[in-house]
Amino acid sequence: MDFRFDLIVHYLPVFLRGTLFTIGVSIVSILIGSVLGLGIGFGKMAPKAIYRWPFHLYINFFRGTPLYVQILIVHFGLIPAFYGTTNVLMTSFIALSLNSAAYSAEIFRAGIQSIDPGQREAALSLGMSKWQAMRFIILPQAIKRMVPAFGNEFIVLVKDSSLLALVAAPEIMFWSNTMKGQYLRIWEPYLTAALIYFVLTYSLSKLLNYIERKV
Amino acid sequence: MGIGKKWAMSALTACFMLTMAGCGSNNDAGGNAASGESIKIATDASYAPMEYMDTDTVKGFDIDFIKAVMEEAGVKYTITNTGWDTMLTSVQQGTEYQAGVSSVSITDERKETYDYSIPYFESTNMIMVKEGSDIKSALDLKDKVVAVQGATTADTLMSDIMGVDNTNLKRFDSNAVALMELNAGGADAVVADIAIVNEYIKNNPKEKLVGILDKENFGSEYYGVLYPKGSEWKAKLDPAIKTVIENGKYAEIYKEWFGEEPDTAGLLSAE
Amino acid sequence: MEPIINVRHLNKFFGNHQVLTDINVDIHSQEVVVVIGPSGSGKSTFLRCLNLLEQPQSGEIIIEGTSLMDKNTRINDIRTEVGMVFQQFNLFPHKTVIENIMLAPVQVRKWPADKARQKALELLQKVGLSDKAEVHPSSLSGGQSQRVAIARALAMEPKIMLFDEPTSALDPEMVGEVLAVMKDLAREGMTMVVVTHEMGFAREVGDRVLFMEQGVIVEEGKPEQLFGSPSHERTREFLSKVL
Repeated sequence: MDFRFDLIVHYLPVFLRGTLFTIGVSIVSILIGSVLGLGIGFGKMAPKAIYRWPFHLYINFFRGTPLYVQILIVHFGLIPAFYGTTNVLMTSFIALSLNSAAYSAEIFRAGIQSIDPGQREAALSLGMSKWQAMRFIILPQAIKRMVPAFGNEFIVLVKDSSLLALVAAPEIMFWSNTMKGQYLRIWEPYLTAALIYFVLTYSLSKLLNYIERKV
Repeated sequence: MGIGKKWAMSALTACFMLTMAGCGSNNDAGGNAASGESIKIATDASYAPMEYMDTDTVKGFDIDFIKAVMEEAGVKYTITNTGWDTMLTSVQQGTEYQAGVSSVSITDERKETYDYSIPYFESTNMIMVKEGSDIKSALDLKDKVVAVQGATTADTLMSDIMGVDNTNLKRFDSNAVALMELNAGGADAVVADIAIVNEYIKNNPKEKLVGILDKENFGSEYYGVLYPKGSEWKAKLDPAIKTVIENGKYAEIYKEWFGEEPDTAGLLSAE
Repeated sequence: MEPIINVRHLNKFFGNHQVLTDINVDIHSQEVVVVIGPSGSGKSTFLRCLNLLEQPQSGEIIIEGTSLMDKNTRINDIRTEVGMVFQQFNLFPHKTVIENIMLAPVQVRKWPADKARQKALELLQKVGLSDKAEVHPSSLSGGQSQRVAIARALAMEPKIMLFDEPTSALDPEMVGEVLAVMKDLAREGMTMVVVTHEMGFAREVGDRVLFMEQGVIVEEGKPEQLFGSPSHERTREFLSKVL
């Protein structure tokens, strides 16, 4: 089978822009997602069941429904409701952040609950407040345990951002589809996209290994 | 426990059988085929009324047309909904599917990779905007936000006008999503096949939409049957396509689907 | 003299299971009270009620005149005056030994860092671990860990120290070094409540011994009296097994 490298070279500049978009959206979304996720994770650990269930529902909704559909709901429902019209940049950040928050919340919860209760008791017995115990004793230990899981979540997020092509966000997959339409060829655009994602996620996992060794 | 497991296994198997049956949906309709030759055709049945799934059956203008052609040629055939990407790769290879019929427009860029039959359908792209829009022609779209279905000729035409790397040209997975984008205010216009635009305006009178034809910038384009490069099927089937168009069978099918007479003379002189 | 700890009619349930039934105890300043009893007798739960790591359902606990059961009492303030040493040490593994000791004085008592460091070094010397200030807890033996844990609790300058089976998780050869630190503490006049299986310690250091079984205080008295001539059959039975 012939493979048209000349077509890829022709599309390289836009693929590069798509890559920057993908990186940007992924980084912003993992950041917003983890901040939201921390709050939701704490919510899910609330002592009273009545306070827990909205967070429980949130997590289960976003983990239990396809991101594909979530993107459509955000793009055609949520954003127009608040902003008046659709906006692809907002959709990209918000859909991925909300989705990532659900997974982050579970990572936080699991990380925090993995810390021996004796650590908290020791901190409280020294007169620390619950907040001080969390901040000085539990979180520093829990975050260290969360790093690998967060790394995975970030890698999944980078790949999942490809679904944003659905609403014409100019990311890697979008340009790959554009190229496919022009030439009706499959392998050149898709393998190029796959290679870019691979380079991104592989570098990311190397970086995370480095961070894991450092913390 | 043992019984429960067995039961679960058979339920699982049944589920798979059901879904597989749903995917397959072959239409064996080459009834009077004499020659014993047969061809497997792929389609992406997500483009009503040209080709679409009515639950688990492939239907549409293209499907009826290809049936007439195969009857004329005396070739046995099956047509399978493979989806767009699978159709493209497998037709390019030519081993599993030897042809693709899916409203594929003939363009020079695509001819580098595929062979096409003679044109069998004339189409043009149409602009759809909300009532009161200041858009009057294709060139007015240059600085607007335009929604199209990616990988269509609407995409190609608009890429030429707006620039292929212009992000104001929003390429969606399907026309359905592109039309939603227009309604939600995220785009100023949709460009799509005339049949799609007319059908949508007719079905959604409340949304106050208008279609704009621009023959100057959006010339006629033609659909062809997709073959692998160097396929011998082109020589075998082109005469049958020609006959079906000439002998009135084509006009019969066309009227059935679109309610009007086709311009068969234009079609035959198009190549 | 007013008791420093005053416990009245204390009841504690885990679900439907009553683990403490009508506990009444007075503990005076500088007194060393040792709580003994079979496992599951509620002695650790009783100890953990004294700084509200366990919340009792009813009764009254008054420490230095302040009721722990009063909703307006700031429990964190009480806990700064009541140090606790755990069976599993519960040192903070992500901090060095000296950071373990300095953390609460700096964060809770708001001491300047150099004052806290000075105090920590003094305490490390007292427990014989001056050379371990900068290491992480993972490199310490069990006995060393527990001595650091005691130093950490003492850094808050508490008025009362609670010991929850402080030697139960230790290899036998390390029990002595921890008990030695506790004996020093008792000699200096610290008020101590000690849950332990070390009958030798109870006899030697304890001013008073409580024997608990099935959530009630069966018998209490001076060590020589309780160990020498226990008045209850259940106490005798228990002592015959452990002595």
